[in-house]
Amino acid sequence: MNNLQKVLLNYTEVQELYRNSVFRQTEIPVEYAVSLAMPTKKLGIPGYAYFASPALRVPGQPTQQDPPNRWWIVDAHGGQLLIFAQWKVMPFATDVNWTPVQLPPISATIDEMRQVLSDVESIMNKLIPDFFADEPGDPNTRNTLAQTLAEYLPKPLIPQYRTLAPDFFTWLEAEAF
Amino acid sequence: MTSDLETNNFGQDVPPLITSVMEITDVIERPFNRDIPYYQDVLPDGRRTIVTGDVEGCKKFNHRQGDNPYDYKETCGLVSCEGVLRQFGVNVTEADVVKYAATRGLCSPGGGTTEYTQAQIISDFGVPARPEKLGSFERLAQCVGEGRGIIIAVNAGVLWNDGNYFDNGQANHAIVVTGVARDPVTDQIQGFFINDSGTGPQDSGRFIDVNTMQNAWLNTGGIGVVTEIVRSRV
Repeated sequence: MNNLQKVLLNYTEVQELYRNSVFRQTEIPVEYAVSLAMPTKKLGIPGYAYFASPALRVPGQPTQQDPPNRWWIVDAHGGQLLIFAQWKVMPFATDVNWTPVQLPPISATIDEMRQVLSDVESIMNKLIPDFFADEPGDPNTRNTLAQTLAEYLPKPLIPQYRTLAPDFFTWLEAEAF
Repeated sequence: MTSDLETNNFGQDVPPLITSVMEITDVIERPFNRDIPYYQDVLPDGRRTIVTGDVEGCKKFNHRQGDNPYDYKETCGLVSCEGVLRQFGVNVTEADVVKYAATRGLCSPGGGTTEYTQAQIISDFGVPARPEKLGSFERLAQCVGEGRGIIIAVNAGVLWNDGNYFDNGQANHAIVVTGVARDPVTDQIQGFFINDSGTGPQDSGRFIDVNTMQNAWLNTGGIGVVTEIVRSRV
């Protein structure tokens, strides 16, 4: 009998895995904008979902970002790819009508943005085990993450994040369990 | 740059060698490839340096991306491929590279490329290349010294010091590395020189210090595309 318990990757480890993955070098154009990793159990097992979108960055002009062009989910236990698809073949949502958007200007410095990302990472590391274990997690911490994401994520992209990992957002924003 | 310059063996105007104060000792090794320029210079912040790489010569291989008749604008990777190919005497334009890549599925609509397709494109034009996790400044400097063509993936927001292009901190822009700067006494790497199609000719041969390179490149994966062959007779 196999009594071995699988260990979940934490958020920091998943981010590091993506940075170094061969998958990134073969399937995700460098120029694309890649989402934050979003915890999800939509495939029935703990995983992290991403989407990637073409983006045009010209110094002095707002970034233009197209709708998601590809998406994938990795196993939260070891980072193996569970599913990858280009939107034109298999979208992660069929009842949406996203169009290219101009991202809102950002006044934060690079250091400030890195700090926010670090905060998101830290809170995710605390909360994700509860999400994957179907536990409610600390409501104050959930609320903090919900607010941080609402402020950090570009507003035109929030619907894409919510559609990518609806179960995580439902859990995050639940008032009572 | 200092005002009293003299011409070195590569036809470059450089500060005179001050042997009484700052000697180039055996600590500073000549680059692996003696065809690659190697000269004294002064960094924008006034620090003396030893530069390895054909920084000046490669400036002409850079231009603002999007210069093609196909309305492909996300072409930093493709323009970087063009720049590397031209370093090796393959006389292509951005339009040539875009057309080749687009008709063979080697770029996305709009021009986006992966490290693997960048290597494929460069190889297909006759200059063998491979993706590589360079992973360190010394490895990157070694490739420069060997005379390899090098494309690296960086975060544009960090490179341009502008949060509007930071995204989520990942590598999102491709640039060409053309030179490395080392401290003349300690041999420590002070930074690298790049060609950046995002900003165009004004940034050709731009110096990027190690702190910026750490955050823009190493911390985002330290990935690059390097040619299998080296330049000669620069």
